[in-house]
Amino acid sequence: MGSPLLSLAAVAMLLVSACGGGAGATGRDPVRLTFWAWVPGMDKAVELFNRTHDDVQVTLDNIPPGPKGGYAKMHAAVLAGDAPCLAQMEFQELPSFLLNVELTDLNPYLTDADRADFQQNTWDLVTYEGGTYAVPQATGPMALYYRADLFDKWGIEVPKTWAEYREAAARVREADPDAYVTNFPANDTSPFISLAWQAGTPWFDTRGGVWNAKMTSQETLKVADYWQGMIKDGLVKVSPHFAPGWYKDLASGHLVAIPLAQWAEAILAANAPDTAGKWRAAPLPQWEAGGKASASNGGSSTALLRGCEHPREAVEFALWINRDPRSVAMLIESGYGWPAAIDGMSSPSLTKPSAFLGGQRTDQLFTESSSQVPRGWVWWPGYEETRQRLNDSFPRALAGEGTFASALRAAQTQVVEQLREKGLRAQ
Amino acid sequence: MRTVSLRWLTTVLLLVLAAYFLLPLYWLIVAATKNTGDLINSSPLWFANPQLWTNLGDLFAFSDGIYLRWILNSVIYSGLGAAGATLIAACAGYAMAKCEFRGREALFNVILAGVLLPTTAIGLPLFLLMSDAGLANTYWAVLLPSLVSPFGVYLSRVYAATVPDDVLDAARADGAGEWRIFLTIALKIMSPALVTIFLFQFIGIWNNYFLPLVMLSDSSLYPLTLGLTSWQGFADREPILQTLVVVGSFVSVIPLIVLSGALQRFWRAGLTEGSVRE
Repeated sequence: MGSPLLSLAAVAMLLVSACGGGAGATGRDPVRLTFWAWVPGMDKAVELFNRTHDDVQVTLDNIPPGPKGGYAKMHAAVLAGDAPCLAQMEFQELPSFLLNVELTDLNPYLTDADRADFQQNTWDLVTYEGGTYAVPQATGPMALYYRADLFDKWGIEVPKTWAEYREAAARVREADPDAYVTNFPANDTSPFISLAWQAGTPWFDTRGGVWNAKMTSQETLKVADYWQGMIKDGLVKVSPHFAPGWYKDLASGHLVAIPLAQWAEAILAANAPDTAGKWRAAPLPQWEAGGKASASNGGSSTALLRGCEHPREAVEFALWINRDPRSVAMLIESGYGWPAAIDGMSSPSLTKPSAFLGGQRTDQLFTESSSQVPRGWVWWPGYEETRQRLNDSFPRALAGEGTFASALRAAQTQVVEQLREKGLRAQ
Repeated sequence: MRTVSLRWLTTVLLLVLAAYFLLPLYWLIVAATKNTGDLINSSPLWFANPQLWTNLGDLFAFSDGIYLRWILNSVIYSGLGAAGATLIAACAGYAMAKCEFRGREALFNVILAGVLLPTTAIGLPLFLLMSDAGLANTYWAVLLPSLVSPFGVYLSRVYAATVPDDVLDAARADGAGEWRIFLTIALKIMSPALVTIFLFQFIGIWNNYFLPLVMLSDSSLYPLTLGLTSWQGFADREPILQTLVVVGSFVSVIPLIVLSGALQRFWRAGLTEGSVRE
């Protein structure tokens, strides 16, 4: 940390103790930490933390979202030795930071009781080679969001398997030539990767200390062929998620049954307000009848960047912000995702009926979805490059240049090469 | 006959090009008048329930009026940065054109190489320097790098070379000092180049994203580019921000349009002037 920052902190501490707060009573100046994040509602949660804590005070800097430059900024700050203690980090980004030794291992500061407060499968996502590199915040268990009114009108059953989903897709096309069952965002393959996760074979494992790529497993290729077939037969519209055109299609009833993460509900509700009450959520369709596999899309954690001088206090904050019921409730309200904290799942904001879903309660659905996300998925260093590459090659495949399967094969060859270049063992 | 049809062809081609370049601006103007629902659902190229004033009111009121702060920051970074860069480039260019010193060409070539370096590529090294100097996350972190314009030095030198040596010698004979000659004679002759440098640098800094991104983390120091992007990150969940980002972008291009319009006269005159070398 540069000296101007220290002196700034010193001045701030003087100001705080001049206020005659609890800091004076304990005879200690509070530890001051900085937190970089872009999650809506985080400002309120941090404010509450500062109000209720005397020994630690946290300054929140709202930085641009990670993929829009936030991560580049973090890499730069760590390199300069000027990084904040705490940073918002999506699960899939952790390995890339870890590879550059840019994170602090939290194991010395976590108790078994702390661990027991969070779902084990979320700890899995922040654990690498025995080290724990972040406190899990939220995940994105998926469900099928569908228009109950239109399904009723057209006499279509809610599909339980992907085969039924394909039939439903054809029925939707017959019922309304302008409507599709869903869209496929060929230029953003993150949802596709989640659906491949559901199919069962993780794209990577680290057995034997080697990054073993399995992006072209039978299961993943099955998912790839399925969606490419749907697109080829005109059953699915090719368009991006979370874009103006998408909101328009949602509002006008032209997309009627979309596999989405739980956090997307807040976005649907905000951007297609006139369709409120007409939607419902159902479990994700299965590859085998009676199957119970879900998937997660998106999800975040609170990480400690390298060079943090007060790791104990930083971990205290990271646990509090992701575990305290009031904090979790605030973050749920602003749609941060499905809480990683076990108590969070029964937060009143989640158990109340959803007006957008016509009064449906979804806590049970997503508690199950969350627990049914197949274990063993490992994010790999350079995930973002892999995704970008697929984002480029999937649209090309749709334009007739290869297939999704060949795009996956090419991406796998590339990612293995990249990992080797970074000095890792990979195959 | 031939020239007439050629002229028509040129006019049509230019009109097509003008339409091509103005269409995004037209869209921005139309979109800035819409509410969030119409932004998505109405025809993109025509007005629907125009409410520009409401949108502007929301824009300047959101989050305690932080948008005004961002405008002010952008003006500070771009205005001071461009003015300083222009002055420094003028001095350097004049010196390189008119003063004989050892290593002049080598130095000039190094500066020319700087034109080829994209600013994004040097963002990170600059940040490390600023961080070492304890200046990261301050106004200086963005201002200091903005004072440098290799292209400006290049252009200044080209224009400074057009200042006749006879005039300089005459001024010296009359007893004028070098600084006075530079300030009263050279700068005047070079003014078209200086306007160009100022304009280019101003627009470059105004639109810069990566440098402020790595340098700044306190949102009250953000320029418009960074501020609008951080809003965009929330826009999925707070749809009003979709409107505010569009209106904010619209307002953010107005200073550029005004500036280009105001300086265009000098600029056009300058370009033709520079093309004729005596």
